[in-house]
Amino acid sequence: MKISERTYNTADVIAFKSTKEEFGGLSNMAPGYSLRVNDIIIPSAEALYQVCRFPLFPHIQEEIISQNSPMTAKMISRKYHGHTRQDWEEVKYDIMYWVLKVKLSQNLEKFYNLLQKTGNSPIVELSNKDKDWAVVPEGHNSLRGKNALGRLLMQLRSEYINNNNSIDCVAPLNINGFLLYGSEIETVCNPEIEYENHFLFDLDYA
Amino acid sequence: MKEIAGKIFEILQDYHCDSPETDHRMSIEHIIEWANQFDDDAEFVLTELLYFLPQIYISKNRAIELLEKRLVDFQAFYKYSSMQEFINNTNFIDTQKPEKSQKEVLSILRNILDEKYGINYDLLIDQPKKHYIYFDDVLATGGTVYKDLSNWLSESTHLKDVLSKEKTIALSLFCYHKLGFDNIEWRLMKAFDDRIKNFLLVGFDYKIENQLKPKWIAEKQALNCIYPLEKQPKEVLEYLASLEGENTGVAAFRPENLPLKEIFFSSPESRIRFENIVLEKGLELIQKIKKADPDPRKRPLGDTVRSHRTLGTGTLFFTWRNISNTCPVVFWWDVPGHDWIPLFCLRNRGTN
Repeated sequence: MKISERTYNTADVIAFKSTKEEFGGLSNMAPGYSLRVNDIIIPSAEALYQVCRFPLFPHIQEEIISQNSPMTAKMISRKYHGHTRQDWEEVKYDIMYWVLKVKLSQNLEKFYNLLQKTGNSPIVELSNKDKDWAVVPEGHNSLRGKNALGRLLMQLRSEYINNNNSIDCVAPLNINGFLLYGSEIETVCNPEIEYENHFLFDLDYA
Repeated sequence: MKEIAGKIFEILQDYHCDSPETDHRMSIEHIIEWANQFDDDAEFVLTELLYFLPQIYISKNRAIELLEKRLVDFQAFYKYSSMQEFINNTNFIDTQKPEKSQKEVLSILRNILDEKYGINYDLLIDQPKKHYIYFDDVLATGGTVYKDLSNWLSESTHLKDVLSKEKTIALSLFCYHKLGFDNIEWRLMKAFDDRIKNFLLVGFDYKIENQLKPKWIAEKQALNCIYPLEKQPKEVLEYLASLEGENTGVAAFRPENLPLKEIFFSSPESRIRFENIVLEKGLELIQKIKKADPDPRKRPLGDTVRSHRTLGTGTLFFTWRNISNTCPVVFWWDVPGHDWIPLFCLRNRGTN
């Protein structure tokens, strides 16, 4: 997936920067959007994304997952950037889109409603310096950057909100070494589906 | 064999000792009678059972010791200088039916408070409370605990109060299955609030490590349960293939290299032999069910959720008051006409 820079008009966009703002839930740093992959609870989309950098290093993955704060998870990840998978730049946008799909599937009501509320407006993440994932102010009423996260969120909105496709379960990415704690990442599902279809609490005993 | 059975009896002698509902009594003869059903493997089964039994049996006296300690731990955790002050502010959640385990645990707690501290818990029930504790004995899949905690969090302003630290919620168990507890935690997070994970205090005495994925987690598990290898007779494999459960997320067999270090059975070879004996006999018993619509949760290695395509939960943990139906059926199967004497009689649970 290749993404090039674009310019956005400030007046036209739905923007988010702080997780406490109206659209803060769109941020990977937003609390309250926990995930579970391969039976492991992961506190945020940011943590899951960072974990995917280090498929061959379960101890780094554990250190990232054990952080409650997504910002701390990202900082831990920075410590180990030398251990990042070699093809990271080629796969990182695909991985991020997969992470966003997992976030939607496992936080369906909340995340669906938030994405729906953005209407058809361009979604952008505001930043002071990150022109890759976000946009930065450039001149009067103008924002510029690749806005990769915003564009992936728009793709998600188009695929699952506008076109109303089902996202009960999300298949793993078809890339080599898509591992969590030493095992291939499996299909993950909406917890309602997981619990109700699989009767996980099916027993009651003395 | 009598000597081994005698040592087992010393450990199990209070099983159902206080139950007025059954005339069953544990005895050396009863233990031998049960073991002899394994024919040539009888002595081996008893020897191996004796090896791990001290870790996994909670006698009533041991339960009292553990609950005494749990009360002291909670008092210290919540920073009260006296037990009286702690109990003044504490409510033991009481939701299970009379015949269930929670009532019995709460009865022991009342006695401890009365005899050791001179506190009458029931006289303090109407006082305003800050701490809520859910006591139970064993958590397997976690269905009961999830339902009760979920109901409690839905009542009044409990959720808001817990998140704002005006109230606390804790869980106390003698034993829990890791996979079952993880399911509860995740479900509570999704049903209520992610932060609940940080506010649910859990006191426990024994953990059954039965999580076989992901690999890195599995390699740290003791597998202190029955989890057989795939190399099985065709009857076992055919039975497994015949199950209707579609969820293969939980593996039916453990990998050959796990556990990495054997700390539960007397040796890796004994584990394999014991697991296979229990599985083979358990399958014989399950296949004696002639109902047209047998309970899909009943499996040779103990009940499990119907969707799992496995041979059963394989729990190895017993308390003086009952045996979990998630334990291998050879320990508790008691069905007229099936020609099997269980080691542990059941209480308050139907049979097939």
